[in-house]
Amino acid sequence: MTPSGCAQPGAVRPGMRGDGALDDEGFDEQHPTTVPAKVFMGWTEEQRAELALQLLLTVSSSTLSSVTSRLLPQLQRDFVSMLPAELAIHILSFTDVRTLGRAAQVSRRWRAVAVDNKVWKTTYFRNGWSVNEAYLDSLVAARPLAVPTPGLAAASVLSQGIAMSASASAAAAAAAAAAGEETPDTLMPVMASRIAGLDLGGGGAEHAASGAGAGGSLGQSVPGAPSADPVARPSVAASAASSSSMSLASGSSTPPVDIPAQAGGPSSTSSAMFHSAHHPLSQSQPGMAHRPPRPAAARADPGGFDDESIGLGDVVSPVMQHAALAGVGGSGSSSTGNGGSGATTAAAAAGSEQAAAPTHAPWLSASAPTAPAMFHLDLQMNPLAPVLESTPHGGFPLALPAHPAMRTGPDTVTFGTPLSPMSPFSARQEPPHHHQHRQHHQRQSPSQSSRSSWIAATTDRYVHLDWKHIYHQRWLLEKNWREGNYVVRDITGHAEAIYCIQFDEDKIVSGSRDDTIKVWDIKTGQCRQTLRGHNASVLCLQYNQTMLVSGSSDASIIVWDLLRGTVVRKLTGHAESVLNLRFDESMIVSCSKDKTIKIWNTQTGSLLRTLRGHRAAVNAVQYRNGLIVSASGDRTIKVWQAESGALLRTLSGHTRGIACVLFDGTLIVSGSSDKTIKIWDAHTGQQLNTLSGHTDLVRTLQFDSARILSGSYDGTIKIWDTRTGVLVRELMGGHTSRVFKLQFNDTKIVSCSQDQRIVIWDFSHGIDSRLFA
Amino acid sequence: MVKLSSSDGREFVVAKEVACQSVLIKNMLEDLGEDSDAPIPLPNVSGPVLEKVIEYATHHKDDAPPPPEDDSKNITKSSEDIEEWDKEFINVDQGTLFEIILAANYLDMKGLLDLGCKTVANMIKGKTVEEIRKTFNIVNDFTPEEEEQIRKENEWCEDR
Repeated sequence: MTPSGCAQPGAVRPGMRGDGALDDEGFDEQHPTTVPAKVFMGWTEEQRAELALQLLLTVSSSTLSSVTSRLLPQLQRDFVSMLPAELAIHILSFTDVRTLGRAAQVSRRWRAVAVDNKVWKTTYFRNGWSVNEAYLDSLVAARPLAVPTPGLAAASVLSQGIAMSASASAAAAAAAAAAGEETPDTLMPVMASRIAGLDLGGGGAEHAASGAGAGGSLGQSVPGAPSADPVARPSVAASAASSSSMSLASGSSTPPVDIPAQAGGPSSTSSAMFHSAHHPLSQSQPGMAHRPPRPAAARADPGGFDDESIGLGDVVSPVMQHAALAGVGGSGSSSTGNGGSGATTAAAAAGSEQAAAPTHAPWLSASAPTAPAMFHLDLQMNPLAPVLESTPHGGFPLALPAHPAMRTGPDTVTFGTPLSPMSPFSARQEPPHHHQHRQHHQRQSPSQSSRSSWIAATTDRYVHLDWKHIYHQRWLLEKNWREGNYVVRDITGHAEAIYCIQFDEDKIVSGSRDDTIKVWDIKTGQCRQTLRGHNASVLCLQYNQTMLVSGSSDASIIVWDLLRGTVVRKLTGHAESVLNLRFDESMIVSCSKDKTIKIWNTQTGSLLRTLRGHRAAVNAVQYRNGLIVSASGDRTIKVWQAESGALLRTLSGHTRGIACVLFDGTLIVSGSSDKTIKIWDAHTGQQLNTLSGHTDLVRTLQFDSARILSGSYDGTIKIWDTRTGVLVRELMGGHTSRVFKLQFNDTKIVSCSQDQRIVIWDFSHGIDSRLFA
Repeated sequence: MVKLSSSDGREFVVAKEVACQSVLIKNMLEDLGEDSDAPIPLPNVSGPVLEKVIEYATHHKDDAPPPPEDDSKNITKSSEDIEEWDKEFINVDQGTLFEIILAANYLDMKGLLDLGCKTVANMIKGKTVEEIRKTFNIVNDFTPEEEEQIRKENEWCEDR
């Protein structure tokens, strides 16, 4: 046995382990075999094993059994506890949420690893989830403390970090109280008191004070109102009314309290135009009393389609035309019938969802006061307190140093257990003295300094965020999507049907049959601006930071200065309605009822090319990765090369005209008058799946790796699983008529309809939606 | 060919492409030049483990180099994703697996390290808390109160 061999954990031999309290007890003292064993050490391993086996075969089976049960643990390794922290983290990174939840319950050591931010960060991203990087960057930037140095006493770092959280959270709670709003942030007292308990438990009262002081001085970036006492909150509210930045609150550890869900999400603000109602409840209210009554169909259309924004019938054969007309008539009558059945389903859904409603309770303020005392006590007298600090239930995503024994500096994560100097992760600090003298030719043992640190990926700028908290928030959000827990809000103001919308975190832009485009504040629902320039319905639009492009049934395209609301130029060339368009810095791609696709120079407005090939109106177009994908009333999808205008592929399969198409670079998803949605491989043209469920034309679509959302003339929005194609949920109670357009992000759907309303379906109530894109 | 010397003094002669599966050895050979025929001492790796490591490196010597890791996302593949040969190779007792993981880490062999860690992950997955303790001979060092508290705060992880 070489000294170096001894020194590494990997070389620990069963007989040398000091922790074998169970199996080694009394072994050396009582068994005379100890001394003779030395005699046999000169033998080979195989010889010794053979001898032991032969000896064991002579004993009774009960003795053999007891020997076996003593030997068995020698074959076991507690990987997570015995390996260097980085490797233990790496192991758990390959597991899943359920396993992590269980791993945390195994032992103290396991728990420390199972709450590690990196484990949760990896698990988070493996789900294909994204984050709002701008917001996380702002959290990282606002991180109040310098990175603790290894020399700093861990306990001091710990309590400083916590005190900081405490002050920040108390401030947020105070701000919320000052604003008189019930927001998730009113949960802050929970945290504040927990933290107070923790400081006491850690004996770091003075650190709490100094930390709080620092928090106060940092009031610009982190609102600092040093108060850890929930009772003192109202008085603090007066002094710290900085409501601009709020800390994250977590209700995750709060046991669900059975109180009724409240109408209105945490961020909902009421205005005359902006209604707010919790969905399940609003569904059961007949007709949604707060909405202005309006006719089911706005305008009668001679062609049977009162939706002028798509053309599906042009190329249909006479026979099919009959079918199409019959279909339209049928859908008309069935939509009335639908209304009835929809209402009953809605009522049933409301009933069933009310049962689920109390799950919102933990985030609502009413549940907060129940928790503090419990945690206060727990942490004060709980030897587990330092470990608990690193859990997400601290609620603050800036989980600074976690386990005091675990984190000694920004880059080194080590356990309290002494790792031998030769452990791979401390090797860089250790000169390989002991084996130098037995080396030939001065060759040094390989040093670790040159290796890349692909395990200790602490360079990641988000690594200090509390990823278990972020994961839990995302998990709650996904649960809301899955279970259909959402809050519906309306925006009204257009005088006619609304054909198109686009939104971002700040605004919604909508185009209507009333010939105008309106810009709305997404938070208040106020109309900021009305753009007039088209002489007929606005059928399609897209905007970026500075520019808005719209297409109209007046056959023109207008490029607007989005900030000023002025017309930059008008593009004319299409002979009929411009049904859809997409643009980037260089090209505007538009499609029209005139059966063509036109490509324009974004900067100059000059027409670059016209693509012909569809035999009916081109209802929808996509432009991505140099490819144009178009969908037409002629029932085909065509893939074109944007640069050359060459037609690459024609996809056939729908049995009626196609109303909408989405292309993400790999998949094409289309919605049709045949009431189905089809998924295609863009590169092979192969049809991958057909989703059936809508009872009328599928008019609008969006999808990501997790879900496909579709809006239909049947008045519903449906959520489908992208991978399986299974219908996950049907959203009702939003629109009373045809859905024309929808867009969604991680937390909400915005849709518009013939019923002249924009509806926001918010799935993020009770969740810190700022974390997500 | 490259000579490797294990902690117990055994010498192994392997092809350079096999040895260079270890980034540690590869960097070392680059630093030292190739003229030296002295064995490379690997004081952290015992003979039997080095033998296993060489077996792995020999089988994977023609693999494409792993793609550079995207640190911002750091998407780790699922632990289910193990080749048949690897599965058979890593089907060893816990003690050997433990030492293979340490050796792979020391030698900087990402493929082997991931294989070892995935294997342990698979030993953990799907087990109850008590089964995990049993599998790895772990003593529950929580008080009943702590246990209950931790169970509660991780309850959501079970729900799906």
